[in-house]
Amino acid sequence: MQTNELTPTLEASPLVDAMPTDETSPIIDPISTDEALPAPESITPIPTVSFDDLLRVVHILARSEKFRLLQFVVAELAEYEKEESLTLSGTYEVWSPLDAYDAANALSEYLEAHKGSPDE
Amino acid sequence: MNSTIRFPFTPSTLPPRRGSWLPYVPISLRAGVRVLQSYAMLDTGSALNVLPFDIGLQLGLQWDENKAPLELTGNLANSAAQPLLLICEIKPFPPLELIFAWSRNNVIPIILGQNNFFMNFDVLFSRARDFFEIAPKLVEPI
Repeated sequence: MQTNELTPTLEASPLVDAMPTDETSPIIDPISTDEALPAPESITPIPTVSFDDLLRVVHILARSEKFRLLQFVVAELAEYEKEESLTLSGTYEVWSPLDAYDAANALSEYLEAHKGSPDE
Repeated sequence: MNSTIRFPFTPSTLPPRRGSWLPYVPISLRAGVRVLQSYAMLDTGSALNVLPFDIGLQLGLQWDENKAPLELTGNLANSAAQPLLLICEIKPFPPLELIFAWSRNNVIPIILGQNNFFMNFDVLFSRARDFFEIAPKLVEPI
């Protein structure tokens, strides 16, 4: 793990100015592995973390951990968007008269001629 | 009134648009004494407003064979269309005249496009945050 490659940029970032220097963050341990995670039944409730605090923690994660986090977020979004995702078997119609400029011009002329006297 | 009103993107439960979240606005359409409450889809890709055939019929309008036909494009190219001027209202904004291509097609929603909906309203889309905002251009109330 090339954690040290990221450290030069951390010092210059305002995001991490307020970060504790202790590398063993109580929220996320950057060097944790799946094997090190506690069994599900022993997990204690996760304390509430603000988005800004979360960003600070994410910022100091190792590159590989950021990729894992990215995979997790993408998987979460895929689940969330499942109902909206496109499928090969789906039919997706586009009704927009995209370039119907002649018709649009004809409507403009009709509007100009009938302004104030709408159809009934 | 010239304030900005925020609307949510609306999930459609009907096939084939199931799962789509689209910018629908509640709209009232008036032709003579008849008023119809419906929903219209904002479509920046549409060159014009389009009205489904049944909506026009529900407003008591009759297809006028003497009107000059409009030639639409895309999926609507095979449907006859003719111009139709209606008084429309998107509350709380003042009513205004919107010009439609009245299409003999019933699969489409009411489409609000460039001519002349977007000529009369500023719209800010934020699909990522599931809302869009509409502010009318300053127009003389009818």
